[in-house]
Amino acid sequence: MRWAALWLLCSLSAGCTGSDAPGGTEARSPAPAEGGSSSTPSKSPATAGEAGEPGSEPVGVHCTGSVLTARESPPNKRFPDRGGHWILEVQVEEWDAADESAAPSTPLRLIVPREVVESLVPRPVEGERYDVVAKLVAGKPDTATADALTRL
Amino acid sequence: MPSQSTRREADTSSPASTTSTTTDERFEQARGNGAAAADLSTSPENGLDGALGMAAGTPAKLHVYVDLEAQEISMWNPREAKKNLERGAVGHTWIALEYPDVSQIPDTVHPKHAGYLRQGGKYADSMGFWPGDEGYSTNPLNSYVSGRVKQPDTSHQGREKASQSYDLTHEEVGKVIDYAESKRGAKYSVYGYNCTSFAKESVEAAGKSAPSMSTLGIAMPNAAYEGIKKQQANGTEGTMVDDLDGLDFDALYEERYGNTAGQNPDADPTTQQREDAGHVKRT
Repeated sequence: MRWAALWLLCSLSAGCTGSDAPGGTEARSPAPAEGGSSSTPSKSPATAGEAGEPGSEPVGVHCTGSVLTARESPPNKRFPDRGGHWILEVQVEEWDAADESAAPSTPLRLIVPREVVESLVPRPVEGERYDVVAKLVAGKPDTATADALTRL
Repeated sequence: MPSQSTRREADTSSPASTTSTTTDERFEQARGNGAAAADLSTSPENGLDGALGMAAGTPAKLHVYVDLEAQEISMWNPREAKKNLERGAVGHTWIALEYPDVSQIPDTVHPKHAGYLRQGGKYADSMGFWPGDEGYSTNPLNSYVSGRVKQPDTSHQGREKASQSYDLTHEEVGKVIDYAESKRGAKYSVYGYNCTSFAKESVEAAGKSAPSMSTLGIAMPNAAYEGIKKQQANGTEGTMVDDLDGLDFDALYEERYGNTAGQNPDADPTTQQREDAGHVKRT
């Protein structure tokens, strides 16, 4: 394996354009965004969508409903703070939005950040009912990011 | 080679053929006598399973699953490899043990695995090897970090782009479990010992022949995908391969890890959706 590591060191050094050269002090800097123009860390899904469009405010919702599907998103192996969220499809039963907007006509797509999921024991279960406090993603009335989830 | 038959002609001298003993007792005996393990299939009560096509001597399955997050991570293309390694777009290879007939699960199975196995299904006792909380290091000269066997390993479940399945005896299940348990405290290196190394060595621990899963000595999910694809092309049974046509891996990465994570499900379709769209071939 040592030869492979040395080969890789040479190869990656040759392809290296910045300060993250292997062999040196490894700066665990975020990978550039596509196009390579940004080094801004990715926001966690906990805040994704909250800023939304310029000038828009996230709309808070309180609802109950049953989980139709639950999908776990993998954590990133190099940046463990990225990913690891769950995505639920929730059939809304009761709906109360701060802007008094109506409930979505299709199942609510609920992004549950990892820290919210980790507070749930057990993990989200299809078919179970939950009480949800969330914020709608700007421009997407059928998508929300969960602030809190309570199994009913 | 998957689906290797381990059935043998009846051996009346084997403890396994003693009809007065229970399956569990015979499993215990078999654990201490490798030759006897395969002979479990010769017991009268297993005859129906054999007649139904379920290899009675191989009541379990080992599945190897591969999910990809980049079109290519080839050490022959260092720039692309560097980009994907640095952003953590390496994909995942993991395994799962399954008893299609959960009544065949011996009581002697390892307690950390029994509950998962009894849940049933092709992802029943899923396990994968992951870096610890600090994430992996890309420094080839200092790549080892803390590692852990994740069980159940459901993070990439239902997103696999390739899989290969093997029929196992009880004894072979025990060997896979023993191997996995031995790696709970192992160190992780994205170059030296990673998820794909764990999966490949699990297959080998069962005494099976794993497909090629590495390039230039470095195991990677993309190489495992290519290895399974070659197995399928060679007519090996028990394989599943997604043709990857139409997949946008940058969009998939953004959906999983980016600023809009979770908001574009079409970018990260399920294996079932891909199969429904005609992108998956099984043997």
